Amino acid sequence: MINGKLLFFMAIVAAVLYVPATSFAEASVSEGKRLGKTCAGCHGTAGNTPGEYIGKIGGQNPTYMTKALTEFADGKRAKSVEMSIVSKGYTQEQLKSIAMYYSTQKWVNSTNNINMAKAEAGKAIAMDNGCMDCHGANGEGMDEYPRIGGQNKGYLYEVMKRYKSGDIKSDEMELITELNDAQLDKLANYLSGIR
Amino acid sequence: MSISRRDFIKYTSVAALGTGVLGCHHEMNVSKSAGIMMPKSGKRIVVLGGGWGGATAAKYIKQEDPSIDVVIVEREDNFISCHVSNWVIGGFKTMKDITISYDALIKNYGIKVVHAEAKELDAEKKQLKTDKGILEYDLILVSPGISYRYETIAGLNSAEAIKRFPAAMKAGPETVMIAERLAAMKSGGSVLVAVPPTPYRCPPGPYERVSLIANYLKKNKPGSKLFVFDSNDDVVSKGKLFKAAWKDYYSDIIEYVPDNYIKSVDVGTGKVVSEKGEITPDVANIIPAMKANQTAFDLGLMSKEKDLWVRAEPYTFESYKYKDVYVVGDATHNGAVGGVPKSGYVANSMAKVAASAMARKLNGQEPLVPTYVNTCYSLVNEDEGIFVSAVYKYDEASKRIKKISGGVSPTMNALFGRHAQDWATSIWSDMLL
Ligand SMILES: Cc1cc2nc3c(=O)[nH]c(=O)nc-3n(C[C@H](O)[C@H](O)[C@H](O)COP(=O)(O)OP(=O)(O)OC[C@H]3O[C@@H](n4cnc5c(N)ncnc54)[C@H](O)[C@@H]3O)c2cc1C
Ligand code: HEC
Ligand code: HEC
Repeated sequence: MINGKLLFFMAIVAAVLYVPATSFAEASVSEGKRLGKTCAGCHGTAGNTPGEYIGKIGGQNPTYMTKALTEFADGKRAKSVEMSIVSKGYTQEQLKSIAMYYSTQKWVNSTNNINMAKAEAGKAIAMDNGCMDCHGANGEGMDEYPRIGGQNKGYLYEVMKRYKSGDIKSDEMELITELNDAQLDKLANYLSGIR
Repeated sequence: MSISRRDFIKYTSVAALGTGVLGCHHEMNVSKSAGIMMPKSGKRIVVLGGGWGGATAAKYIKQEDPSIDVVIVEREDNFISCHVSNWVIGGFKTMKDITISYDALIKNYGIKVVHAEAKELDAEKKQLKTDKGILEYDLILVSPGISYRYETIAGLNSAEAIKRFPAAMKAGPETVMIAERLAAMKSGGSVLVAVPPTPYRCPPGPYERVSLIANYLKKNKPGSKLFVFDSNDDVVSKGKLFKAAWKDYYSDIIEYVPDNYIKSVDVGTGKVVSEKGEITPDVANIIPAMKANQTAFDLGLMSKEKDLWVRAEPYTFESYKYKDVYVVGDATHNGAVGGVPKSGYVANSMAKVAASAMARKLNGQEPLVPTYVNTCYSLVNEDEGIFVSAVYKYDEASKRIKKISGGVSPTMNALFGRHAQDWATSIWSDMLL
């Protein structure tokens, strides 16, 4: 009886705590949708970017995406010229909402053409370097680790070159400085081809 | 509106044509007595123009509320993209690459497409009259694009002269004409591109064209010259970037003459008289001054007598002239909406704002605070691109669109060229898939 009461009480507490949290997240998502709909001109509807050199953002992790957007706005990723200009048009709070909105969209794997021989070689490089230890077995990512499996090929190649050159700074990605461009190309074929 | 016997026959023939005319698989009812096509049952939004503004709006209205009946009225069979049409003129894309059907909008979202010519608007009765019948609506969005003011250049205002000196700022047969004439021209020939005074559709458009024609001449027609007569006192958009490319790649081909508008043309001799001199080019691309599409005038959307563009308020894009009539895209008046370029990206942004406001209105909700973006990529040859990009907000004080952030690419490069291609694929999919 007492147990039942306690459980009931806890359920109420949980509900009280839970409800505002959801509505906050929902408010953030709908705000992000209002603000982020215009990104689709470059990124495709719902962030399902059909091309090769612009990254997919629909279904990307919100933690990583918020970090990336903040760094674009702060000028820390100056080589991403378009994104540096665009993200300066929003407040930090707005960027977070936009990232929340795109993270709720469905991830749709890339349809870029993959060179199978390169992809095979890329897989071996990924295994040797423990890439998937952080990024997940299928490159699905989580929290601060971006989703990289099924991402667009050209985008992957270009962004890896930026981690390598130090244009984007990341301690976790240090190991990429050991790889040459041909290896990065193979990795891009492998990662984009995970479908 | 009464209906003549001739009209009656026309409407009946629409019914007989059925799926062909409407481009969709449902049986469409044509109420003969009223001349009303597809009588309205629930909530309906009619979208006039299946271009950048119209196609985007139709899709986003459906995404917002699939229960709204959305009917696009478009005279052309397919969407033909203006963006990338310069790449066709430059000889490295074909018309097929820039032609997209409306099938996906019909199939994926249940949008209806009526291929008809809009003629008149009865804003009181909420009816759009087309050459195929009358459409009833609750709300209508108009995105008709631009028309040329041929009358501003002496000798140009005839079908024959237009053919001799095509503008090609609407992608289509004129795009092909220019590409074919360049291909047929002998080496050592001369080409003229005349840039219109602002405001015109796609500020960097003519300069991208100049770059790509020069690139074509350099590769295929050695010894040829390209004259650029600009009505404006300098390159209107991305000036430094275009001029750097012209200097690096085409210095012996391009002859740029600013502040030089076209006074007259002679269709017989092919002679073009400009303020600063005469020329008889082998191939001429004369882009006259522009105004909102003639359709906007025919529908009575102008709120002031001498206006050339439609005044709409940029919070929802409802027109100042008529309630429940919304206008987006190139046809809008810059003084009324604010300083945004007449670009496809802006039309796409405006359409999303209007789509949301219209769907919410039909559901008794207030419009959301709008936001807008622009980007125009241009190629300077097959590979290298440049761009301009900006984010805008609605400014309460001036009741107009205001820039928050913006900039241009620092230089031209191949990666921006890739982005330009991907941008096209992205925005086409955002409008039409
Ligand atoms: C060469 C060139 C390059 C360009 N490059 C870029 C670029 O890089 N980036 C960019 O953002 N923009 C670019 N643009 C500009 C862009 O194409 C326009 O801004 C855009 O088309 C505007 O959209 P809209 O909906 O206002 O008009 P449109 O796209 O022209 O659509 C209007 C539609 O309405 C239809 N219509 C009109 N009247 C009627 C009627 N009475 N009945 C039935 N149908 C009717 C027309 O057939 C047309 O399909 C470029 C334009 C050109 C010409
Ligand atoms: C002018 C075109 C353009 C617009 C508009 C644009 N983007 Fe981008 N975006 C790009 C390009 C190009 C890249 C990738 C290449 C680069 O980094 O330079 C990119 C990359 C990104 C990335 C990094 C992807 C990753 O996996 O790390 C994110 C996140 C992103 N954009 C979010 C957005 C959001 C959110 C908006 C709208 C507020 C937006 N973009 C608007 C062009 C654009
Ligand atoms: C120690 C963990 C870790 C390892 C190992 C690792 N990464 Fe990463 N990776 C990250 C993190 C964290 C980021 C995001 C960094 C940032 O915030 O800029 C990232 C970013 C990336 C990105 C950019 C994604 C995008 O959307 O822009 C790519 C591509 C990538 N990693 C590929 C690899 C490859 C290939 C390897 C193996 C050679 C690898 N990573 C190894 C942690 C790791």
